[in-house]
Order: sequence, then structure tokens, then C-alpha cells
Amino acid sequence: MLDQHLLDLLMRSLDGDLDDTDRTMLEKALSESEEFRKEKNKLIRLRELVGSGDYQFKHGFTNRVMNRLTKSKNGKSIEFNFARDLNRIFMRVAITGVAAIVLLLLSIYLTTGSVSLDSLSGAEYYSEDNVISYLLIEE
Amino acid sequence: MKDYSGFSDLDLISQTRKGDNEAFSVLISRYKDQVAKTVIGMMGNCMEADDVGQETFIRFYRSIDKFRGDSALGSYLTKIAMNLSLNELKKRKRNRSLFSDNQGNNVEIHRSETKDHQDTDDIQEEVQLAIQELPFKFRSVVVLRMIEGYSTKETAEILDLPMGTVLSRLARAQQNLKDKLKHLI
Repeated sequence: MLDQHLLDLLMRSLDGDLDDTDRTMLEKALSESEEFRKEKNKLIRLRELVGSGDYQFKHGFTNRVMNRLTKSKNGKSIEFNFARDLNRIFMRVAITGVAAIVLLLLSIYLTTGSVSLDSLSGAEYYSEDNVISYLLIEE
Repeated sequence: MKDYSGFSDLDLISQTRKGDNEAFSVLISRYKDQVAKTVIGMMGNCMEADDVGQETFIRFYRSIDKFRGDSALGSYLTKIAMNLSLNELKKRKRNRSLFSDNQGNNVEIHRSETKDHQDTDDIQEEVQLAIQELPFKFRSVVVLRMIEGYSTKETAEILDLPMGTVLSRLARAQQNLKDKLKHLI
């Protein structure tokens, strides 16, 4: 039966993490025990097996990535153009609206001489008497 | 096609930033095998592994302006690939627990048709399955240290773990693999 501490040391030795005392202990165990040497060979074989697998993407991987990138870039630019066009349309509508309001205010000012609430609603043309007489008219 | 053979990684990144897509495809060709080791090592040789591999490069492309070159590009890509693989595996695990009748391992091994390679393929399949059966935290150290060949220090840096944790996980993972693959070693 192999000593668990020595086995841990053996595993760690493959990752280059032993201080001098541990290394000496491990070397001694390796020189004295055939079973321990076999264990070391097993660990090395295990690493070879794990490392030698076929870890490759299928043929055409680079093209697949580039195609996805091109598609996503096109998608992004379409979204971007749509947003930009929408902005432009709203900008035009807003400018036209503001121009219409300015023209309206200007025409009211030129006609009535002021841009008060009364002149905007047209109420300044009516005196209180006029309003009352209108209300009292019988059909 | 332009000859990029003399270009360093940083040169290619700089070219990509200027809009040269060919330079980026050279970067993919340089690092696809390394990314494949991480992704296929973690997920097995399945369709999702290819998708995660593609996503790794797409994420890198989108954040290429943020890459300052402090770490090697290979380690940077490996880190992205590892995180994406772990996310995908967690998603897969959640789905599997939702549909509990589907308990089988989803590893899809591409077998060779050639009879001469049958034995080698069987061994490779068995090794891959043994790796896939390891818990994620052990699998990640095995993939980085034993498949990719990173040092324990680099493995610790990529996984943001202390060295001691990496070493103890490696030891337990090796013990586990040794038990499962004892007839092959």
C-alpha cells in the first residue's frame, strides 16, 4: 500500500511545486519502491492520454466566425441607419412645427399688436357689455 | 490576400481596429486550436462547443478596443472561452434538471469511419468521457493544466484561484481520472 502523502507529493511534483525537503523525500521513495515508480509512470501516462486527445473544431471554423461577424455587423448598421433616419424625420417635423408656430404668433402680433392670451383666443374683440347682450338675445 | 506572417498579435489587433477584417481572420487561425482545447475539453466535441468557440472570438472582436496587451492574447482568449464554456455547461445542467428524464451525457463524439483508427478513437472517446464526468471545478483545472499545458501559476491566474486550490483540485482530479482510466494506463 502506497503512502497517501507520498502520492500527493508525486502528483504535485508533476506540477513543479515541491520544496527541497519534499523533493528529497519523494526521490528517496522513488529510489526505494518499484511500486512507487510504477505509480509515477501511470501518472505520466495519464497526462499523455489526456493531453493527446483530438481537440479541434471542424473544418471551416474561421469562415464561420467571420460570417457571423459580417452578419452581426450588417444587422447593427441596419439598426443604426433606421434610428438615424427616424431621428432625421422627427427633426424635420419638429423644425416645421416650430416654424408654423412662429409664423402664427407673428401674424397675430401684426394683426392685433400683441401676443397676449386674449389676442390669441380672440377674446379682446369683445367687451363685457357685448358678451352680455349676445347672451340675452332671444331667438 | 495580404501576407500577415510577419505580423505580431498586437500588429494584427491594431489592423483589426482600423477595420481590416482579414487581420482578424489571421488571429482566429492562430488561436482557434487553443480555444478548441479549452472549449472541447470542457464541453466535449459537440455542436455547442463550436458555437461557444465562435462566440469567444466574436466577444473578443467586440471588445478589441479594451484589450491592452497586459496579458498574452492566448491567455485572454482562454479566459473568455473558459467563462463561456462554464456558462453554457451551467445552462445545460439547469435544462437537464428541468427535464429530469434526460439524464444522459450529451457528449457527442465524432467517430472516425476508418477501422484502423477505431482503437485510438475508442480510447480518446473514453478519455473525453472521463473528463466530462468530472465536476466543473476539477474539469477546468485539468483542461488548462493537462490539455492546454499552462503552468499551475497561469492556471491559477486564468481561473482567479489561489495556487493551493489549483494544486489540490488537480490532485483530486488526477486521482479520479486514474481510477476511471486505470485499464488504459
